[in-house]
Amino acid sequence: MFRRVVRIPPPPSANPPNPETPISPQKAEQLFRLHPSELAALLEMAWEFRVWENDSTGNSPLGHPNRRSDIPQLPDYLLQILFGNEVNDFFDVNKRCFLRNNKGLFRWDHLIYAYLIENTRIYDIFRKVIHEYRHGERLGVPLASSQHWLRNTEELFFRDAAPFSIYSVSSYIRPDLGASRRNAYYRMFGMDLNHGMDDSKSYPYVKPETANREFVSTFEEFLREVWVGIANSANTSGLKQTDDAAIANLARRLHDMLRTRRTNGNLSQEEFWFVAMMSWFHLSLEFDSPIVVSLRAEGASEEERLKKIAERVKLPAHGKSYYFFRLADPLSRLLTQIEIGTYNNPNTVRALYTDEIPLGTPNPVEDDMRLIITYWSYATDRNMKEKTRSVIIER
Amino acid sequence: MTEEEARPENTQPKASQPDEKSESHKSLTDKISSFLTTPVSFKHTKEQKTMINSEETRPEHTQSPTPPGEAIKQFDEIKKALAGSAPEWRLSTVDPKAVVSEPRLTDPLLVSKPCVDEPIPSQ
Repeated sequence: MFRRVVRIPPPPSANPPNPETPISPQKAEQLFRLHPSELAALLEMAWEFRVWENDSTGNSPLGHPNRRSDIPQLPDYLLQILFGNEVNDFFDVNKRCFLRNNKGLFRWDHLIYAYLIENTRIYDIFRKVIHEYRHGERLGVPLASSQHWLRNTEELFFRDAAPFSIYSVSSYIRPDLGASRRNAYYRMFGMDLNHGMDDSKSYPYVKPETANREFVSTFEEFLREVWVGIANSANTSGLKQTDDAAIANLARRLHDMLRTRRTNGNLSQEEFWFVAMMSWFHLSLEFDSPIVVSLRAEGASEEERLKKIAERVKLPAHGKSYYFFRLADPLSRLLTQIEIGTYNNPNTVRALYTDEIPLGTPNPVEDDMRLIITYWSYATDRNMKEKTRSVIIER
Repeated sequence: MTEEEARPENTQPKASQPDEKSESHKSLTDKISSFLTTPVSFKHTKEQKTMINSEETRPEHTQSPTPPGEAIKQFDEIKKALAGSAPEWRLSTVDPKAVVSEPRLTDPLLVSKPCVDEPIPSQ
């Protein structure tokens, strides 16, 4: 969420334009300096301008990627009163940017993005940074611009949310946001984070019976079948082992699993907030931001900066953070499209592994699949490029 | 009324004569075959229809398959939307007090003159 606010727009001459343009450090620093209430307003507006469409049959399935939830945001008139006036056109300008023909354009990342970023231990590490800065000077004195980052981070992510806001997902019933996140990850992916509490004890949270426990095995089978497709896509003779029906069947199973957890917009508000939270921390590491400079943690990449900060606060980051950072964006895109149901049909799955459709045009889907297969293999130490073999025991 | 009289079978009409029985049997047979051959239409309330449409129908399964080229185009749009670089957000006017000049970390430290004991002037 926050990362997209500060990207440099692609040049109009680029064809095709790559939407993943670099972060603008100046704009990011401007974002860090905003008042926390203005950041909250951005979140309310992002929710208001979310993609909201009926499908072609006229149905409106809540939970579909184009219609995630019908929970209302802060009313327009309140947002206008708080953030829009003749002098400051913050609300009106951004509203015009994100509406086309009265249709919202804003889409947030899949929950898998939040899972992968948090699995690096970024949240706990930054919590310790704020703890050290607020209780003493063991880490030195933060830069003046870092004071804004510290204030905003503590206000937004380490205290109870403002009441009635769209990111208010904690209450007396769900007092622990960390537990709420783990609960959401487990329900959606059947996975827990790789780390527990700071003292290495396991993190207590409600582990529901209804969860997608077969997500990982189904997804890995899906990756293996797609890899077979990629490996055989250039074959012009001999047996082609690509099984489109198997890929479509696995995609449909993933679609059903994920969409069942989202029935009637379930988990959408939580996903929106958790993804926004992780994107704030991710943005803080994507360049030598004021907090990174304050901590003397400059580096060439997110995982290098995170590693240095982790060393300073004596809380180790995950050893495979590099792969988690690389996986986060492509996997979010892929799962969003799987949830739409695009690959449920064998006639469509060719888009996943053919490198040129139509001829001469690069295929971003196949590019992403290659990245996902490679980095998932490294992250899990299970080779997705090798088909599992059944063992026959002879007696 | 005795227990025997109260039993339901005792309140049923007496079995009809063989001719009447075949007539009633034929009528029942006709009714059954008519029921089996006539299509039955279920009437739903508006609420049920809505529920069926939104919860039980799987629109993805009734849609025609997306051509691979269209799937790639759809993926591209998702990528653009998630990257967010297409429409540019306008951030609000920053309070001028919030903009401060950053001290550079490479600035040389100011070294004060070493403290030297000055001799006490003699009177």
